[in-house]
Amino acid sequence: MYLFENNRFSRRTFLKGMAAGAAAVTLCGVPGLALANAPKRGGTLRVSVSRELKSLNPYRHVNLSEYMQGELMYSGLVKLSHELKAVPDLAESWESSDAVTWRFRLRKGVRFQNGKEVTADDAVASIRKVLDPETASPGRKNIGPITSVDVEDKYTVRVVTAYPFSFLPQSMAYPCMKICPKEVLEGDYASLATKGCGSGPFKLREYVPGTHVIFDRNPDYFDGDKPYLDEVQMLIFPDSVAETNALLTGQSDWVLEANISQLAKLKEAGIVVTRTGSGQFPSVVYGCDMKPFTDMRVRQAISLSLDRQMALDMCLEGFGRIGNDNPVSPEYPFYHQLPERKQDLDKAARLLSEAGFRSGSTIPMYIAAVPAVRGKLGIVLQQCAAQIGVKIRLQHVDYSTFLDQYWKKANFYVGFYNMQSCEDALFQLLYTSDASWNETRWNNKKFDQLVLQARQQLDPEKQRKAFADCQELLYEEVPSCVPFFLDLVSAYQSKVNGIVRNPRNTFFTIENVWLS
Amino acid sequence: MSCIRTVFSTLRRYPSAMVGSVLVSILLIVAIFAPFIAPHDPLKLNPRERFAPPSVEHVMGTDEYGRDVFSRIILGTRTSLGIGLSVTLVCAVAGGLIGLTSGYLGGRADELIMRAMDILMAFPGILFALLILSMLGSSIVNVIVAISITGIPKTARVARSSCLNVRGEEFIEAAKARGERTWYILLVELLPNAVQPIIVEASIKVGFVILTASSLSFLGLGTQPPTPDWGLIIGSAREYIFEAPMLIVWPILAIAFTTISFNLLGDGLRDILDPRELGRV
Repeated sequence: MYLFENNRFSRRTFLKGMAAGAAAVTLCGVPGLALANAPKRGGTLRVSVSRELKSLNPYRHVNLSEYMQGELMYSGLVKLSHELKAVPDLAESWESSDAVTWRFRLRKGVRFQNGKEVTADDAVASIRKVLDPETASPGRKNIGPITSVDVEDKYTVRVVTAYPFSFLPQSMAYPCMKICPKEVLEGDYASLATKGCGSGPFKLREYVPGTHVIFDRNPDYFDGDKPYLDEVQMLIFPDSVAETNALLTGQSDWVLEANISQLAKLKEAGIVVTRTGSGQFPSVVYGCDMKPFTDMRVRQAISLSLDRQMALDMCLEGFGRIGNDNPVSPEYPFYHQLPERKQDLDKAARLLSEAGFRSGSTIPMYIAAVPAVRGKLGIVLQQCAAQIGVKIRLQHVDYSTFLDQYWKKANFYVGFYNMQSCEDALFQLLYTSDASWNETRWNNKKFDQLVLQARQQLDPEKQRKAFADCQELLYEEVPSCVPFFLDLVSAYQSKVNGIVRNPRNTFFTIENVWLS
Repeated sequence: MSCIRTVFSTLRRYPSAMVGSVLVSILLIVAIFAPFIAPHDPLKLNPRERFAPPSVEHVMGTDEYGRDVFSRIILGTRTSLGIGLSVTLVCAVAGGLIGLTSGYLGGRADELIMRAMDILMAFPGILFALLILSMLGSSIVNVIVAISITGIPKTARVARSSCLNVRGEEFIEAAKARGERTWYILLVELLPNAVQPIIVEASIKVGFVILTASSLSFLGLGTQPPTPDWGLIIGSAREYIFEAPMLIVWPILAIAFTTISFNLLGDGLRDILDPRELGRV
């Protein structure tokens, strides 16, 4: 009981109290918990991120830092809950009788930061902006097979899909699908790259590229008392040691992606460390249209040469789960369990010689500096592949050079991807012939057909069957090698409350965060 | 035999040269025979022995991939000395020629060349090297190119001032009067009489080059992992500074040892080759 009357009470001591014994918890009962959970207004949250923001324009976002900035400044129609369900954001409800024609009903009285009310006009203009090929939004292929978007009345948006598509609400939660005022989209669209106007919980105050972005509380935010914080600062730390030190010395409050090799030190210093399983994965990407990876057996051989347990231990200190080249993790609704892919050097060597691969040929592999797991996976794979006579030359490049020159272009590199909202979104992002980021250029007709079948299907059991076949194809033909899935590891000061990591790793719900 | 005896008796009178040349010889031997000295494969991963403390099997312990640190340090000698000596050679040859030509020609050509060198020198060396490497991409050859470009101006200046001392001498005038070609005067008459300061400058330079190369690798712009390289080892061990602090200490000791060895040798050579000292030999 005293625990909760103490002003210096923290989340950490609270957790310790919980662990101390069930009796204490029973004694405290509901009033105690309610007190502990009553959020407090005010304060500045400083969150450090490792990746740089290339643009503030939400329609062009590709990385975590950008997603976070987008979520702070803008709202979408739909959010994705931590259980991967579609939940209301600007749309308070949605319905469809045939999964072809969808109606999204907007909240009334929500205002943009320029004072204008959010109406169906703005939502329709925003969806059209994402769909417009000229916008070049990664969201274009990911928000669903939309054929038309119209205003039904001031607060209702009608979306029609090309075929029955049951994943539309989840797909609309794609992080690029943010709502902007119509007049900004049709007028000064270029200003979104450096300024912006949304209806999100925070407003942009200052943006210094490569250094930080500062946001002020949006007092007109539609969701009750939220947000609780007065100010959010996103600090950009490309160097993970410096980032950890900033947390240790109190210069930041939350390291979004904590450096696993320093967790012990953080825990010692009283920092809270959390771990959440996710479908985030690094992948060894094979350009299937370029030699030597045109031959499936070469891809299979390299994937078979990898000792995955060793890779997981060395790259992540075990903070993850082993994958078997199937990019679908157990968190997804239609996960299909396939046999573990064990290291098999004999079989790998046999496949290589069948493929006529010249032993000792050197293949350059491109590695971006962040996150560090790319480089580590490169080193482990290099040593494993050397055992079957594949020489890999590691080419380290900085992240922006990687994005500009090698990503989606080179035939051999380490990719790194977030979990998606559903299997369909994942396949449409990376693996189908018309994927937004068709980096493997695998272009498998049978796979495309199966994905199309699944998304048109309304019966979940038939969807399950089609997606299972998809996963078997990926497992068999290995357009990319998925060695393991990462756990999301966050570290924050004990005064920070309300941080929950979403397995999809795009929604950070900072509007729920408060400081004690 | 008498030649070797002269070298030894000279070295005995200059302790820093003595110590320097012994240490540098040790380094050269280690570099040449590195694969025979290293007890383990410096690239071999060993999942069961990560972060092992120093033992008989692993004298300096193992790193985050379970690789033997001692073997990596030994092999790293090759990378460091290789870069250090190649850059110094490039600088001495290119810088020497530029400086001698500039000094000998004098007048406008001299102005032009020296101002160009001044411009190169105006950039901080490591920044300039970083710039070059981010343009060319990271590889050992590019590291050598980048550090050489930053190092040439200094050698050129030394060579030029040394050349100015000799230029007015009568034997040069005599060569000119004989109608010798410019390149002949430069290489046969000038060079042998102006070469000592260039040698001294070069021997001191090796240490600096090794330091610069390590800094570049540390920043991820020099040699690429998993090449055993001291700067690179520090760079990757930094992440584990709390777990395994000794991982950083070993390569630092190696760099310090090498730099000091070459500086001692350079200082010694300077003393020996000082014209005022030469008369006493």
